[in-house]
Amino acid sequence: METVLKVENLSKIFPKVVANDNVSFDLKKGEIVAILGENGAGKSTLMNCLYGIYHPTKGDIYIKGEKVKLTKIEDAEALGIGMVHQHFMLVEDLTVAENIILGRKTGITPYLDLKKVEKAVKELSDRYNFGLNPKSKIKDLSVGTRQRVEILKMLYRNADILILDEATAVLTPQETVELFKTLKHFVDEGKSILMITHKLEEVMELADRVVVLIDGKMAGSVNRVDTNPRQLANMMVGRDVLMDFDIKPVVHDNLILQVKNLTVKNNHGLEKIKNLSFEIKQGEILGVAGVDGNGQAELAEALTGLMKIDKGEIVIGEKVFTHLKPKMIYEQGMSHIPQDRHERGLVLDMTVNENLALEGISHVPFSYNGIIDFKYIKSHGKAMIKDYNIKCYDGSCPTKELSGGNQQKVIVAREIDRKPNIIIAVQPTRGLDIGATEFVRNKLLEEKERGAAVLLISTELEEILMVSNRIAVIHEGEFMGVIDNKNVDILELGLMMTGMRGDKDEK
Amino acid sequence: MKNRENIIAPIFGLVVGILVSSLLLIMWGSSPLKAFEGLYIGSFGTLGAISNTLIKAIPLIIGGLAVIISYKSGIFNVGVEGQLFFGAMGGAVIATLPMFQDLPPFISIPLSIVVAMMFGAILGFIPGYLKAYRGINEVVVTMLLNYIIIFFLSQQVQPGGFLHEPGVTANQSAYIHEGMKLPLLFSGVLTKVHIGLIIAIVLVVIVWFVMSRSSIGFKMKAIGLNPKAAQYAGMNMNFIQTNVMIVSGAMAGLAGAIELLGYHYRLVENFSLGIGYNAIAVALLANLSPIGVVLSAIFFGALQAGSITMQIVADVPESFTKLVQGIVVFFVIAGAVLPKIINKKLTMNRLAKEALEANQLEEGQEDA
Repeated sequence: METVLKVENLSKIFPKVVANDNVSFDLKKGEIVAILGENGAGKSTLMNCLYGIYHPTKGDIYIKGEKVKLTKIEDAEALGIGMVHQHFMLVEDLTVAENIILGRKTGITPYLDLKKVEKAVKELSDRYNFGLNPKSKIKDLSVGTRQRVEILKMLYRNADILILDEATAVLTPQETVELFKTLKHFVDEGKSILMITHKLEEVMELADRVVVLIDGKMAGSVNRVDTNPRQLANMMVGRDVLMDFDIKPVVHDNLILQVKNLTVKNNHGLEKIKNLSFEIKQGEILGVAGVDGNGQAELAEALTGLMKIDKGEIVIGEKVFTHLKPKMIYEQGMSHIPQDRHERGLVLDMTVNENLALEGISHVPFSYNGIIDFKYIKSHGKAMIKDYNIKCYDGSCPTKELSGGNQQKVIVAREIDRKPNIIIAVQPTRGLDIGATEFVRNKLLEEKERGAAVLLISTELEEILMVSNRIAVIHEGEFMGVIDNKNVDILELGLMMTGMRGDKDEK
Repeated sequence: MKNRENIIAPIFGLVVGILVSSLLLIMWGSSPLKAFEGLYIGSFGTLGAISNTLIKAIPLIIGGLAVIISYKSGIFNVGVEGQLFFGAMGGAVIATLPMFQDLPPFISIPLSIVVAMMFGAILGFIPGYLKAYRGINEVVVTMLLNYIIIFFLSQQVQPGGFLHEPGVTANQSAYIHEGMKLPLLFSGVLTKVHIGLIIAIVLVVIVWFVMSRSSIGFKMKAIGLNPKAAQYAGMNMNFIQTNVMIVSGAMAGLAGAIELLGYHYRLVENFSLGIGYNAIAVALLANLSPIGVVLSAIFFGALQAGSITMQIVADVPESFTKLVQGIVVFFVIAGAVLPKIINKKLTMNRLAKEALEANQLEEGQEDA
């Protein structure tokens, strides 16, 4: 069969990360190829290269046998590539037809012939049983219908290679079934589909072939009929050997942090954390693994008072809280290493010394009666810079001039140095180099040894396995299981991450 | 080094501004030399001129400080204009209404100022609360309130308005009560410089101290620079921002009282139009430094004070002096802001380069 798309030795290098490293695969006419990989494996970067948003650092792209250079989205679309993004690119106040023609011309004249578009949209919609009214406004449509608008937009632009980025992430199960039917209809007509996903069930149901990415590299390319979910999970995680770490057992019995029936809703009223309960003992690290976007951020924000608790309670030591504020967190001896150090963790325009004093500024010894003790802040900064090996010329250096690893050290120093009872660490090593990663993990282990209860939320399974006493896997706001970190079956963890409940739930 | 940049850049802007306006003056057929000589004589040439310049600078200093504390706290008070007008109305209640005319000045002057500050504070509270607790853009609210208050004042000094001077057809309030003029600082030539200058300077010191030495000032700066991180660190952003707006409005109200009791002595329509907006330019030109505000307010004051002499000496219409003012201010502010933008760009480039190098290094290690 004819090969419509071929990628040869494609590499995309960003400052700090190699997002794609020598990736090669091809897509034939009437075929569905799944690009499978964990978060940060480079799936989206690869698709963006194919869609003309990014330009590959190395490597070639062939479309229908011809080598092409995609410099902008229009290039890709002219060659028949269409992309349906995970986050829809629709204007809510415009109609279906208006969205479809957005940024395009209807003819040679500068006038907009909306009637013509509406007619064409109606025809296309009828052909694929989309049931769309070209005149309805996007804001009145359900999520599944909006996605159909996105797909229709690509069909209207004559796309015959469709790229779907985590297409089912926002859909209900019923909508997913509908989508799959439509996609099968497309391939029957001779269109080709590339789907980006981390869900194994989808791959097994839909794909003809699977390309697995890990850390931007190709972990392999297999035919669906020759594989099974276990093998795919294995490829995705990247190893089949169990790693054996010397994790000292928990010696204390007292519970430091208890979360009881926690429910958290986001701004849109969607439950991001569903009736979640767990507890952490003194001197214990509980690792929360899972694919990004399954409620990890909400869990951390609810625990640290940044998000409202909808239901349930949080017990710190012996005090019961049903609502929390960041200030109370500080007073309860809880520390938080936030997921996004630029957004939450640091005031980049302030100096290192000032950032180290950020939380304590209203308290002795940072200030007395509201007057800042600059001498203390300076000496404190000096000590922190030395103890935590923060590389900067002086504490008066603006934090934005530090490297990412050193910025993270500033946060770690601030959060850990006050000897907290509880540490909530979210993705504490994301984007750090090897040395800094090692440093942060060691600090967490040291704190655990000292007696802190640590909640480590990370999408890096390796990190969780390396330091946790127990591992919980979160999926769509629920724990799929909580297991001891002893002889862990990584494949089982991988399956739990994709939403299959663990059978040995030790609780 | 940073400080030197802060001074050199505005001076560079001043020179460019003077050159560009000179070109316009030449095209108009006037002598730029004469024009700027007139400007100088009118603003610094005599003791009287200096007095004029300082009087113009006083409300700009206070208004500039009001802008600074809000801007630094991440809430941009564009409503100094309205708050100043409203404050002046509050001050005029005590200073011009007959029922208060028997109060001794040592009570009525402070009382008038306090009422003015309260009026300003109320007007500051509204956008502050709306922004902090309801998420409504403070720039829009303060801006629109300005119009409302300016017209409200106009209406109240017209016949039938509660501040209107009885028995007079002109749109004005009564003259302030006997003895309520702000005390003058010097006798003799500098006759008009009043105690408002001292109040302004004291306020400069207070704002400087709060912003650079107190934990509240630290929190304000953190909130202004990164609200999310500030909240994460336990700072009560909504509460602080609302209160900052109350204080900012109170300062503007104070400036209104000082304009009333120290310079105009009665309210008329549009009695001190533009001070609130100029205060924003003053604050930005000062690079949001409370100390710098003194210099930039004097600069603005000088432009205003010197414009009449400039008209006479260079024989240009009044609109032309305003145009020259605008050009000079534009270039001075552009001069003050440009180096920052360039600096930022350079920093970004450097960081990107470092990142790339670090990356290559890492790759090299992996290969090895």
